[in-house]
Amino acid sequence: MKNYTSILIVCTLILVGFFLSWYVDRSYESYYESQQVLAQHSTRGVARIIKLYINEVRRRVDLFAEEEGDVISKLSRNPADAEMHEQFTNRVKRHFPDLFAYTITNSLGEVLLDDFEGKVANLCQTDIHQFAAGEDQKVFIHPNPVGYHFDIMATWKNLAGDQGVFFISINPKVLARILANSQLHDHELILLHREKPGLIEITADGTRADLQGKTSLDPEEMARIGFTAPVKGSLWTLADLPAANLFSAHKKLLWRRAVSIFLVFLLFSGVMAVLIRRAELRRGKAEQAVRESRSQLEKRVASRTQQLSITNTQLESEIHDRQRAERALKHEINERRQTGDTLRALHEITSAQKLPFHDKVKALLENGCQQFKLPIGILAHIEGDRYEVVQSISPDESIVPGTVFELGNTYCRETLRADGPVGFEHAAHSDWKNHPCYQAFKLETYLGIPVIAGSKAYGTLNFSSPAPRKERFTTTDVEILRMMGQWLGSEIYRQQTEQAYKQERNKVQRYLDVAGVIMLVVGADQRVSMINRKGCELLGGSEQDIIGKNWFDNYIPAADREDIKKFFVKIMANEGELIEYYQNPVVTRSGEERLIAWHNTLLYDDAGNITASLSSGEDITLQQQAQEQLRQSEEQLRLTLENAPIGILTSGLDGRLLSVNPAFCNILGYSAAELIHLSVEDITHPDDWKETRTRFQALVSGDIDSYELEKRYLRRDGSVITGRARAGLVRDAQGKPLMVVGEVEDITQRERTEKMFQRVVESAPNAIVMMNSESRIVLVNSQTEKYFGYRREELLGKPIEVLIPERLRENHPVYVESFKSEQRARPMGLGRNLFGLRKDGSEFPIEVGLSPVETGQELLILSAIVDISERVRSDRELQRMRTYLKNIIDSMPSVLVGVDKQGRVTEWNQSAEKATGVQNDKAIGQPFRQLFPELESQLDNISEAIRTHTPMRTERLITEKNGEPRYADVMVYPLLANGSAGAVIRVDDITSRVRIEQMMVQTEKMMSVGGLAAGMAHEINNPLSGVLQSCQNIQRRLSPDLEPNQRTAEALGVDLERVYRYLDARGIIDFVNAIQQSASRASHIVADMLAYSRSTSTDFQTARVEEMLDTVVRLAASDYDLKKKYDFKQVEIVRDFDPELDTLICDHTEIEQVLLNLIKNAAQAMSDGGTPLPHRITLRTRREDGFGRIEVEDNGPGMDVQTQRRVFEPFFTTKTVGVGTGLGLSVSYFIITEQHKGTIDVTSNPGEGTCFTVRLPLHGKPDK
Amino acid sequence: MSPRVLVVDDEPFIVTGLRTFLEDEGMHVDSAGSGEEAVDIVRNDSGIDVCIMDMRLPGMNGDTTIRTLYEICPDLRFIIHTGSADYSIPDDLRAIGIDERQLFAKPLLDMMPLAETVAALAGGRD
Repeated sequence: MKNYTSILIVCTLILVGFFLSWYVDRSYESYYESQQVLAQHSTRGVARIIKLYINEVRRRVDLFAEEEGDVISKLSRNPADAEMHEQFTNRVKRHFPDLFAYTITNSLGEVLLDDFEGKVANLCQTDIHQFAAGEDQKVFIHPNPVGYHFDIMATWKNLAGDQGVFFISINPKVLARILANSQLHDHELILLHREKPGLIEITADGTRADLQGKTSLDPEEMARIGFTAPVKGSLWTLADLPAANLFSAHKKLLWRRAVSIFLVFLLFSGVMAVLIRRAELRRGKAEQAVRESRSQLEKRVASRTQQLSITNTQLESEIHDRQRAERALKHEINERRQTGDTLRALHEITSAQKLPFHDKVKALLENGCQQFKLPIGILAHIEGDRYEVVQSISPDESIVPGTVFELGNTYCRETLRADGPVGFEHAAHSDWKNHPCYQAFKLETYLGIPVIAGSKAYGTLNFSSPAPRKERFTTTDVEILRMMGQWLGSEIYRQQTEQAYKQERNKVQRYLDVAGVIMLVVGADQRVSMINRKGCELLGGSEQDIIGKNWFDNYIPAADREDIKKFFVKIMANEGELIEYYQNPVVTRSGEERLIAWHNTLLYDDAGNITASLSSGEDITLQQQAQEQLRQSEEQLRLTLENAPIGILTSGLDGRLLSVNPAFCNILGYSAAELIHLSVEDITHPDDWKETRTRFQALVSGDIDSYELEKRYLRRDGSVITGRARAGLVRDAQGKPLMVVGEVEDITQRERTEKMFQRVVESAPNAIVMMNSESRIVLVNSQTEKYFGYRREELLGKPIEVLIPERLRENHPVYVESFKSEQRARPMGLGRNLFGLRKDGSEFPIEVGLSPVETGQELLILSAIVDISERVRSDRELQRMRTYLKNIIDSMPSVLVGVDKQGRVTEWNQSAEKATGVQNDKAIGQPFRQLFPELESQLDNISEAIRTHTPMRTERLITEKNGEPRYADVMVYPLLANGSAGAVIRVDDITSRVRIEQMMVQTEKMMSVGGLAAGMAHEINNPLSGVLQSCQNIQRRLSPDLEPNQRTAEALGVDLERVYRYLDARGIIDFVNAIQQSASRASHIVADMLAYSRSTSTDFQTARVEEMLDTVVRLAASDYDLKKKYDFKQVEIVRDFDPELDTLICDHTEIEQVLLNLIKNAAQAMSDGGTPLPHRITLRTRREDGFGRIEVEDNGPGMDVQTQRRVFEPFFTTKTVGVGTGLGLSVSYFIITEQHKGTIDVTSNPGEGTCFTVRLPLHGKPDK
Repeated sequence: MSPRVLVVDDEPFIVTGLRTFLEDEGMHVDSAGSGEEAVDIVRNDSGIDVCIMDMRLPGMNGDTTIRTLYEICPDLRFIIHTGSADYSIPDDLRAIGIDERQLFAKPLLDMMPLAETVAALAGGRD
C-alpha cells in the first residue's frame, strides 16, 4: 500500500515535469515567433519611412535647384558678392532646416561655391564627380570631422544653359529621431552601411559621429540581428537588433515559472505523502494494539482460571466505572439539552402573545419543574405575613391556588430577605432543618426567587420537593430561575399597570354602569356616543351595537321621531329651552316600546359649546302600566257598580222560592218557571248554606228584621257566582211573618276586579299609595313598605303627610286641592324637588305620578312613587364634572369666549369677566362685538374660521384702552357640529411682553450707540480740539488786556479797544462764543456716548451710600452749568436714609454720575417754572431683599405716561435744544442695568413730581 | 527764562492752537508732526523743558516716543494730550513720573490749565 502511493506520487511528478517543460518550449516558441514578426514589420515599416523621408528631401532639393537656377549661376559667377551669398545661404537654410552645408559645382563637378570655405571633403568630391557624371544618385553618408551628414545632389541650370550640381548636405538627426520613435522595446533599430557589413551609420542615439568609439557591430551582434531591410535609394540597410538577453531572459522567466509550479506540486505531494504515512502509521499502531490486546487477552484467558476471583472483581469495578462515566456523560448531555429546552420553552412562553397570563404562568411552572426536576412549583403572592398561592403545580394538585400560609412558615421568607435566589438540596443535612417550613412540611429541596413587580416585591416563584435532590443546583439553574423571576416580575408589573390604567379609563363608565339609571349621551350629530349597561340592557344590545347609531332613527318610535328630533336639533343649536324632565317612549330591539322618564343636561366642550346631551333615564313603563291597569280596573269597578243587575226574589218561610225577577234569572241562568220549584238551599253553595240557613231562620223566627250576606250561589250550569244578598221579612197586617223578600247582587265581577287591582298594586315596581278624600292612606303596596320602612298596618288610615318631610307638609294640602280640581293624571310637583320621609326620619328624593280614582262615592288619589336617589346622585356627579370643567376654563389666564354662528356669546370665562368687567350671566347671549368692541376686527376672522373650519390667528393686535396701546394675540378656533357651528376666541393680553421686548430693543439700541461712539470718539475729538482751541485763541487775541495784543496793535497803529468794541457791536464776539459752545456741546455728547463702551473697566468696590449721596449733592451745588440756570441753594434737600442700607458694592464714580444726573434733572425740571416753592428733592434709601434702593424724588411738574416710557431712550430729551444731550438718562440706564445688573424706573404724576428709583444688587453684580 | 515747549501732534490745527496759546503765555514753542521728528528735534536741542505729546501718531506712537525722548533727555517733562477717552497711563510711563495731572483729554475746553501745568513742570525742572 505504502509503495503503491509513493509510486503514484512519483509518476504524477514526472508527468507534471514533462508537461511543464513542454509548456515552456511551446511558450518560448510562440514568444520568439511573435518577436520575429514584430521586428520584421517594424524594420520594414521604418525602412519605408526613411526612404520616404529621403525622397522628400531629394524632391525638395531638386525643386530648389530648379527654382534657384538663375541665382545659383549668378552666384557662381560672382562668388565674391558677399551680400548675394548671404541671401542665398539664408534661403537655403529656410528651405532645409537640417542643413549641414551646401556646395555648388559646375557640370564638371568643380566646386564653384560652398558655404564652408572650400573644405569640401574628398569623399564628397568623389560623390559629386560621380553624380555629375550621372553615375550614381544614391544618398551618401560621410563621416566628417565637423559633422555627420548625408548628401543629396541636384542639377541646376539657368536659362543661359549654364548648369552644374547643387550639392546639399543634410544633418540626419531626423533619421535618428525616427529610429528612436520606432524601435520596439528591447529591440534596437540600426542603419548599417550596406557595403561595409557591420559599419553603423545611424542609431536611435545619433549618427556614427555621435557614437563614441562604437562604430561597428561585433560578430556576436551581427549574428543577433534578427531582420534587415534595405533602404532603397541609399547605401543603408536597416537592421533590427534584439537585446542581447531578450530571448534568454524570457526563457529564464518561463522556466522559473514552471519550476515554481513544480515545486508547489512537489510540496503538496510531500504533505500528502506525510499525511498518508501518518494515517498508515496510526492504523498500524492500532493494529499493533489490537494484536497486543489480543495477545494480552489470550494471556489473561490463560491465567484466568488462576486469577478468576481477582480478575472478576477488577473487571467488574472497571465496567462499573465506565458505566458511571458514561452515565455522567449522558446525564450532562441531558442536562444541557434540558436547559436548552427550558430556555426555548421559556422564550416561547414569554413571547407567546395570545396565551393568557394564567396559561403562561402555568407553562412556566411546568417548565421550571421539568428543568429543576422538582415536583412542586408555586407562584406566590406575599403581602405582609400572608403567603398566598397564586398558581401552582404539585403532583396530586394538593396545593390549590388561593391557599394561604403564614409567610414565616415558608422558605420564601428567607428568599424575600435574601432579595435573590435561595436554594438547597437537602434540608435535613443543613441548618434548614431548623426552619419552621421544614418542621411543618418536611420539604427537603427548595429553589426560590423573589418576584419584583416594578419596585415592589410581589411574591416569590419557588420550586420544591419533599425528597432531597441528588445533584446540587447549578448556576445555570439559578440563572434560569432568575430569568423566570424577572419575566414574571415584569409581566405582573405590566399587568398591574395595565389594570390600573384600565381602571382609570373605565372609571366613568363603571360609575355610570353601576348607576341604577340609564345614562345616555347623544352627540350633536344625533349619534349615541355613550351608553351605560343599564341602557344596553333596556335597549337589548351590546354597547358596540348601540354606540354610533342614530338615536332617533333607531330608538325612538316612528310616531314621535320627527318631533323629538326637531326639538333636539334646536337644543343643540342652543336655541330651544331644555326641558330637564320629560318622558318619551323608546323602541327596544325586540320592537317593544318602553316609556322612559328622562332627566337631561347638556354637555359642553372646552369652549362652552354644546356638543351633546346627557340624559339619565328611568324605565317607567311598569309604573305607567300599573297606573294604567289601576285605572282600568277602577273603571271596571265603577261600571260594575253602576250596571249591577239586582235580582229580586220572594220566598216562603220554608225557603221555597215564590217569585223571581228576570235579573235574578239572569244571575243564576235559570228560567223563572224553573226557579219557582226550587228552594233557597238549592241555589246556595253548600259551603255557604249553613250560614245562610242560620240567618234565614233567625229572620223567619222574627229574631231579626233583615240580614245582609255575601255568599256564593250555584248557577244552573253548575258554575259559582258571588252575590250579595239582602233579605227582609214581610209580615202581614197582624205582624205575623208572611214571606221573605230578598235582593241579590252579583258581585263576582267586582270581586275579580278588586283582586286584580290588588295584584297589580302589589306587583308594581314603584311604591303605590292611595289616599282618600280626607288625605288618609287607604292602600299601600309592598314596595311602599320597602321605600318608607313602615309596615302596611302602620300606614293604613294614617294621614298621607306621615310620608312627607315636615318642612314640605305645610303646603301639601294646597297642592292636593289643586289636583282635585284638575282631576287628571300628571307628575307631581313639576319643577319642585320632592322628598319622601322614611320611618327612621331620613329623607330620599322621589318622583311622584298622580292619578285620580273616582269611585263614585269619593275621589281617591293614587300616587306612584319612584325613588330617584340613584338618579339624583348621577346628576350630581354630572353637575360636579361640569363645574370642574367650568373651573378649569375659568382658571385659564386667557380670555376665552365662545360664540355661535351669529356672533352671540355662549361661553364667557372669568378672565373674560375680568377683562371686560361684564359678569358671565350678563354676557351670555350678548353679541360679541358689543362686549369686545376693540376686537371688532376679528369678526371677519370668526366667520372665516367657522366657514373654513380652520383656526385663525392674529398676533399683536393693537387695540387702545384708556388712550394707551394694548397688544393682544387673538386665536379663533372653529367649533363644529352637525347643524350648529360656532367658535371659541382666545385672547391673550401680551402688552407687558411687548413692552419688555421694546425695552430690550431700546437697550440694544443703546449698546450700538456705545459701539459706534468708541470708534468715532477719537476722530471727532481731534477736529473739536481744533475748533475749541481756535475759539479760545481768537477770544484771547481780541482781548485788549493781553499784552502781546497791545504790542501788535501799537505796531500797526490800531486802537485795540475800538476794534474790540466794533467786534462786540457787530456780534462777532458772540459768534465766536456760539462756535465755542456748539463745539463744547458736541464734545459732551461724544463723552456721554463713550460711557456705553466703558463696560469692562468698571471698578466695583464697597461704597457708602450716604457718602455717595452727599458727594453728589455737593457736586450739584457747585455745578457750573446748573448754577448758570438755577440756584441750587433754593432747593431743599430732604434726606430719608435707611440705616439698614449702609454700603453697596458698586462702581461709586459711575453711580455718582447717575445720581448727579438724576438730581440735576430734578433741579432743572423744577426750575422750568410752575413749581410751587419750596422746591424739594427727596433722597431716599431703603434696603430691600437683595437690593439697595435709592430714590430721587422731586416736586416738579412731573411727566406724562408717554414721556415716562421714553425717558430712557437715547437722544430723547424734553429740555430745550442745547440744554441736554438726550443721553444722560440713557447712560444712567446703561450704567445701572448693564454694568450693575440693577434696575432704574420712573414714576410720575403730572403736576405732582417725579420719582426715579434705582435698585442695585446688595452684593455687586453677579459674576458672568 | 521762558519755558521751552515741544508740541507733538499730527493735526496742524491743534499744533497751531496750542502754539498760539502758549506763545501768548510767553512760552517758546517748537512743534513736530510725528514722533520721529520730535526725536530729531530733542536730539539736536536739549534745551526743551516740556513736551506735549499726542498719543495716536503716524509711525512711532506717543508711548514709544516718550520712552525714546526720555532716554535721550531724562530731564524732559511730558504732558499727554490725547483724543482717546479710554487712555490710561502705562506702568512704565508712570515709572518715569508721569501721572494723571499730566494727562489732558482732547478736546480742551480751556487751554489755561494745560498752560499752567506746562509752567509748573518747567518751573519744577529748574
